[in-house]
Amino acid sequence: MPPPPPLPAVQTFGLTRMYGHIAALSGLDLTVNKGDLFGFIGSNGAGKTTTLRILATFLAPSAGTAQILGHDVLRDADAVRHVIGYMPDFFGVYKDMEVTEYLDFFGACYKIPTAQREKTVNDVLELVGLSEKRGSLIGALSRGMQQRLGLARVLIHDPQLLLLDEPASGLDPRARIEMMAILQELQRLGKTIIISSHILSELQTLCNRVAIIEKGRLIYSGPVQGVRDQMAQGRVVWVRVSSDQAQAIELLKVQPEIAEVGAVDGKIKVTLANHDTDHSIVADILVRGGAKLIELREDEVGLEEVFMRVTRGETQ
Amino acid sequence: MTLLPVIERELRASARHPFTYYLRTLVVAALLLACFIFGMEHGFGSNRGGALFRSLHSTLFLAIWVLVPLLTADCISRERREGTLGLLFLTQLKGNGIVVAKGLAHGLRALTLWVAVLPVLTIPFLMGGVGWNEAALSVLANFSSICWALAAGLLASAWSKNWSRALLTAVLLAFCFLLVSATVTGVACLPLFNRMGMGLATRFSSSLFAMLTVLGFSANWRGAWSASIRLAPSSPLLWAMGMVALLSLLVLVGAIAIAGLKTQRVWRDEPPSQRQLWWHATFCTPVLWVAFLRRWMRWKLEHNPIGWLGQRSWSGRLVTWGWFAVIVSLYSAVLTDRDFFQSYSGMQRGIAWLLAITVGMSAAGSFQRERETGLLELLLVSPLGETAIISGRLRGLWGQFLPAVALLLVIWAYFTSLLNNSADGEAILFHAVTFLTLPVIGLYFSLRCRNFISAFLSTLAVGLFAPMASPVLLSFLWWLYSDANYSPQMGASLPAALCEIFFAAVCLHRLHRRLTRRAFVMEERRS
Repeated sequence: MPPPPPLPAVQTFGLTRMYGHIAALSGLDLTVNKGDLFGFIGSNGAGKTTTLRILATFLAPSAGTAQILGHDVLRDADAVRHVIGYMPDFFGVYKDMEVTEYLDFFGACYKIPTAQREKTVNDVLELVGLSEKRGSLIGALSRGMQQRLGLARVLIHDPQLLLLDEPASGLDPRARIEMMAILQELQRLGKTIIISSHILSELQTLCNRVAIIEKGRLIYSGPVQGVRDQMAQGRVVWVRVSSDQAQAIELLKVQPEIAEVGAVDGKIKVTLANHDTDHSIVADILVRGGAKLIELREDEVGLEEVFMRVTRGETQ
Repeated sequence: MTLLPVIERELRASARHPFTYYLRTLVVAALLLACFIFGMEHGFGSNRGGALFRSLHSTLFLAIWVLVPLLTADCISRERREGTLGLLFLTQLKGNGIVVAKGLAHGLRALTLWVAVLPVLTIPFLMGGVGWNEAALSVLANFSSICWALAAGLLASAWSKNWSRALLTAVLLAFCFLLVSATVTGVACLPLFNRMGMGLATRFSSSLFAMLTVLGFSANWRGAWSASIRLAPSSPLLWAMGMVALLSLLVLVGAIAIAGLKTQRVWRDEPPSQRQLWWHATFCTPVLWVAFLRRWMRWKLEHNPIGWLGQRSWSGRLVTWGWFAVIVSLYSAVLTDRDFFQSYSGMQRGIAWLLAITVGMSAAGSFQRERETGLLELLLVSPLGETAIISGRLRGLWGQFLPAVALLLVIWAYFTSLLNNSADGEAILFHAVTFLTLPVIGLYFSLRCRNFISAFLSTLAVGLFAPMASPVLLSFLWWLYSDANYSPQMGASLPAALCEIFFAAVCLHRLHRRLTRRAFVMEERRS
């Protein structure tokens, strides 16, 4: 008998949240597997924070269900709170507390035994690189350090799932890169991480799976490569030839695999009809037609490009 | 003129705030209640207007001294906290300009309160028995009070960044200014009576009694003005009060100048100076039984992390042991006084009321910080849960005031049993119930109301004044629908205590529901 499929870290069915007559979330179906570093993408007001707040048990859904590692966020909120670490899009600190005092307080809130707490605090401070600031007042820490302290707080009870809402917003490039490195290390340690962010270039390299949400509805959920492939319908290939450009265009125009051809800034822009067409067909046609090919390059469709298309409504 | 944009912004902000309108309604309601209680006790017969006017002036006088400093206290400190003060300084504005603009805007706000109550103040005139000179004295006394109270609020706001410190400083300054202004009024007016050969000042048995007399004179307590007008011609008295009002205006101008200089100096966020660090290390750091204190605080953290938050800092502990020390000192001082047993009840009632107001203040500000910083959201997603958060905070508040309240009530009960004073027995019960219920009510309003002042006033209204007024209203209704004789029971302790318990139970239920439904206002928290 085959083993049962592994329990997903997060699973939502028809998750809906209304604010009066406004739907912040409309029937969101989302699955996040254990060990995923999952990027949650959407424009401002798309419903990312609402989703994370529901998963963190802060908000109750108006309809639908959400399960975290098999626990329902409504019926089994206590169990959920023990397995998640939630970092909202603000610092949430007592500025007149010392770093260790702050972590100690949250350790007590999570009922970590006193004997174990000191070691845990030291470990999480070490992990986020704040060991040297353990005696500092929180108000005296820089923005990046406060953000890392927020991450340390999230880790204090060793949760299996981290819900991070814009953890890198407002950070300088160095702090952002350091934050991303910490997240990769956490994934390596076996944590499941859901991260919402607007810095898509980083999510593209950091996450193995992403979800795109717009106006409370899920538009895409799956591997990062998948979103590019799905969005790359009408892939564009740029070609440069040393011979007659007009003749090369004529050669390409008649091919059924090619949807559109045109000259742009001394280059030929070729739009392929199907997303699964191999772009080497362009080189093949040109060489067989006698054109001298100098350059052939396919446009890379990044997550940012996908996001722009999605939020313009191109995929809806 | 560069001041106008700041004034406009202040007025627009307060115009958008529902609290501005609630406050006017609240003050008018307080005056109407004072009218109602007066009518129930003395009737609304002709020529009773003078007595009613005195009652209304005293209420308004008290409202000015309580509300104006509290409303002004956070006007500059809030700008500092939110980082907008620096932006104002990047324009053509200077420190004095900003404080003048804030002062004008808040002065206008205070005047609108005054205007709002004018219709109620006409009632005694319609009833008759109020002289024009008494009305003029009231205008001058209230104007002086507004100037002093505004000065207290502006100075406190310029000196503090933290809102709770600003409010506390404003209250303390307002109290000091009240004494100073009363002294000034006394110095200006009492010689008139001496010149008339009445020698009032020589009758004061102590400086405390002299101070209470001049305070009572400013507040028109028990018809002080009518008596004074009978004793002395009114025009020199009006002249003297006019001079006091002018002096008060000068004090306000001076306070604006000082606050402006301070604001100019502190608008850039600087690290604490050497002197501040020394001050903190010398006076705010534990030196005795440090190991014991650490163990004690750790024990508290383990058993009640939410309550621990209120007592982890020196200022939290100062409230606990400061009140304890005040009560020990007061009893030590007054027990040696030969007249103590004649006036001990009033003194203890006074302390109990002050303590109750402090408890209300602490409770009303309880969730303020967590709401402002967003920490409430983090606490609600921790395994503590809503019930543990509420009970933890309540236990923290009770623990904070327990030493002072227990000491006061135990000694009071001892003297009551010693002197066989049954009336005080009920008062003790009332204050014991107040101590238990007021934190619950305050906690509810700290979650429900956006700003501290509205939370504090609502706490006092629901936790103290409504329970005291309820027996009057109930007996009035009883009188309306039955043939029984009407007997007013204002402040009757036992029914009031029962009302407190009822209100606290309702507030507790609603507090839990609000926390569960996340129905509370979160401030803009991104730092």
